[in-house]
Amino acid sequence: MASVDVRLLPLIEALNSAGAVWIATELLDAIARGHVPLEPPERLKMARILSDELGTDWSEEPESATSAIEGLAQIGFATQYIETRLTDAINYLEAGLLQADDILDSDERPRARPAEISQSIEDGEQVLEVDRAAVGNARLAMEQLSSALREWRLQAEAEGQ
Amino acid sequence: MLPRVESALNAVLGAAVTLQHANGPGRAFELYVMTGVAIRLPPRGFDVWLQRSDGTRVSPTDPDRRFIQRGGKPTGISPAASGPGNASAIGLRHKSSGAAWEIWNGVQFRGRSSAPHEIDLALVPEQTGAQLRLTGGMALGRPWVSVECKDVGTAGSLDEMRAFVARMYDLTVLHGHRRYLPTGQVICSGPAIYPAPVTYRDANQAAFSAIVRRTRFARGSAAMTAYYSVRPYAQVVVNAPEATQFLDEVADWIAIHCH
Repeated sequence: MASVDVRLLPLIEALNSAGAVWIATELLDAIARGHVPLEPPERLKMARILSDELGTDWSEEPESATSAIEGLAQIGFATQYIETRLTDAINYLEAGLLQADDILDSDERPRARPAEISQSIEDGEQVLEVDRAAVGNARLAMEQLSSALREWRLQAEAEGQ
Repeated sequence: MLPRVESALNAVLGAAVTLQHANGPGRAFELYVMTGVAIRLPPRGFDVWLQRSDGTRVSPTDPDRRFIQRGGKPTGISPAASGPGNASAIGLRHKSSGAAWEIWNGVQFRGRSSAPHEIDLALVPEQTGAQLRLTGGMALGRPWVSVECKDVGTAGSLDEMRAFVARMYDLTVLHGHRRYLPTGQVICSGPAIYPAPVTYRDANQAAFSAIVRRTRFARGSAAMTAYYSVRPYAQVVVNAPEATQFLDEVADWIAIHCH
């Protein structure tokens, strides 16, 4: 298991300060696990076919070793992780809201202005709500985040040479 | 500190505020999956609608058009009497047969052991939902469709698969189990439409179970999938062919089995 490179600590602090503790936690977990060998897509496809066919003819493949993410490589891994994680989440939100709008409109007469659904997450007293306009703003802000992460990565890599 | 990074993070999470919640990204993934399945059902012969926790439909002209997802500890179904402000669902009805169903998100089901098990996306008969909304509570048994949605960045492990298989095992109610079950429980499979299977293999084959991941599976984690009929889907991200394949396969299964 790789130890966390000290150069990563300001990024972890920034995540915590921005309220993205969950990303910081996931990121540290991912670094601790390192790169693990993955199931090839064709094995997953075979598993799905055998699921339908009462199949038990499953051949195991030999284990292969994980590789640690160490030193400066953690910087590149972390910036890529954060960017992909948030971009995917924004994509899911946007697509989910668009699809919910489609469902809302599916059994109604056409209207001049389509109705829009918002997503609300409720946790006791805490209520968080987001609509498509807000998701669009988040997507714009992602460009700033990508640029800031890239700048920091390049600086950290230059200092680490 | 990294002021530019922090400022940009604040802007992203300040706009998409649901992503501030630890469960927010997971709920976004689940919203995408459940609505993605639902929009594929009208061409396959179903009417679909968004439904509040009290069982009422969301109309395009309603002032309140929120799709509510639970952020905190998972629970069962809320009683209709507690109002429309709990977790939303998606309703569907087969146009020819009239058979009605509900897609639930993040709802707990009770296993034979009495342990609660949260299912990220579950398809149950509408009767199960209607009965539970009278008093609130958990359905006992296994949904017709059970999908575990994993959006975390690390690869899926064999332990993740074991946990899902164990959950399905506890939720499976076989013919021989029925006499040992506590009375007065709402059994989600409903004997009239889901004949109690004799073996676990029958039960696994009769339902659709899947683990769907944003990322990939670690080598070896697919080992238990074929035998227990848990379909593994990886790299399910928006606009990816893997996502289209997964969503189409769930919708096809519903179209074949749920009418």
